[in-house]
Amino acid sequence: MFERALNAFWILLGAAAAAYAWTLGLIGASGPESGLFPFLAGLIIMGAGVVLLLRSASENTAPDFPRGDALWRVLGVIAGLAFMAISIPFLGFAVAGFITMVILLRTVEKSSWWFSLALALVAIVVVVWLFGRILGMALPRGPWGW
Amino acid sequence: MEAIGGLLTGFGVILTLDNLFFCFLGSLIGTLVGVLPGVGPLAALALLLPITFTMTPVGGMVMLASIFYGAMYGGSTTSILLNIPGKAASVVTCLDGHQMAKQGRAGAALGIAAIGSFVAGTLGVIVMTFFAPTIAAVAIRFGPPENFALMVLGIVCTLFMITGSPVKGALMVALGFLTAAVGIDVVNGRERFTFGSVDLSAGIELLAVVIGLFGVTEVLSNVERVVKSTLVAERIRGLWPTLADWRASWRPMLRGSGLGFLLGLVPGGGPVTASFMSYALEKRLSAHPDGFGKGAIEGVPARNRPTTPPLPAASSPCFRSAFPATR
Repeated sequence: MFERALNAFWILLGAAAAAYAWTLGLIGASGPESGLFPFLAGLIIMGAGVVLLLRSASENTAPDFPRGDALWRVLGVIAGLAFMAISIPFLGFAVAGFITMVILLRTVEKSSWWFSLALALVAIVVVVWLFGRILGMALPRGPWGW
Repeated sequence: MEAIGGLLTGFGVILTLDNLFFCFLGSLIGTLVGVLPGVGPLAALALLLPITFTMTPVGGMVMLASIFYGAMYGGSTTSILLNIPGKAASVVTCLDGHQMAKQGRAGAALGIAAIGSFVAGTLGVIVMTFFAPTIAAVAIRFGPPENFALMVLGIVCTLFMITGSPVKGALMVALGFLTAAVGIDVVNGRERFTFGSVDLSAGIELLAVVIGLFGVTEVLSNVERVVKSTLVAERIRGLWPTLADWRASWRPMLRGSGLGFLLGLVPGGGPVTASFMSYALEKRLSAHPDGFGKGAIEGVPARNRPTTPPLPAASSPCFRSAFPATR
């Protein structure tokens, strides 16, 4: 079922990309336009999706998905990464990273509160010191300036 | 003879204690920075450039070149031990290097990567010294049609490398095309797939995609299996390759050096293209191609060599025409 839905997604994605690329123009007076390669890529994605959809209908290709606790752990990591990506512009790298690490250590690793807080704090301080101070990289800052 | 004279003059200038120290320090710093995922050679150079401000011109160039070489090699370490490429050109190292590490042969993989880098880099410098003026004069004539043909060849090689379903492989290559198309078209200046977003107009960084695909996948895979980490925690032994490793590796090492050097001469043909093409070439020539991707040591030098020889080669068009061959 999931395989079919994924292949249908490829078809839709390819069709949408090809349609959008068409509006950019394919061939102009001076040669290929901006839309030519995305258009071809869209057609390839769409065609491959059709082939895979027809194939998945005839073959038993059940993907091996995580179940039970494994599924929750995977979802926990994805949620943590999503939280960090969304919150960094508002909280800054240090705070967003600290909160994400605590959440992951508590939910995925099942670590104790003290261990989670200590490890997250040390890890973030080291990362900010190494990348922010020593290597001079511009890490995203929160409203409090760090 | 003129080349030999120039080479000897160069050695005379370089071989001082100060410059050798800068060389060692630059390699060390470059390797340490190159190990950090996401900080590639270019970023390492940009970050560490101020260090050279107080040096002599020769010392500064030695330092920068050493940092560049060190950073190029450093990316292999995380690829082999963690399956997280330090830079885009290290992606192919993950395929066999990390598999070797999982099989308890991390030392051999790291060793052959380091030795191969040294051999290929040295060969690249020697070849550049004697033949670069002639080769670069030809390479600089590479125009859009030649570059396009080179890219097509790279894509064909990528398709050849795919071990699973070729249809899924073609789909992923096309998806890569589509991802690369996001941003401003460098030819026409038109925005593609940006939907008004300023962030997307700068395009999607290849390294971010690579780290996401390899790094996050590895993390999710480990979390699912309740494995703490695939970090090779046991003591790494056997850094010096065995006789069998040498037998399997010396040809890929030399072939990768040659291919990497030639592609490095071409503006736009950098280590990423070279690494994929070399890996595909070795797989094609191998007596047991099925072993590639499962820990074949030939796959490590096949990838790792071509990232080093393009560096001296890439500097050739840069020196001759102020046009860099690599980013």
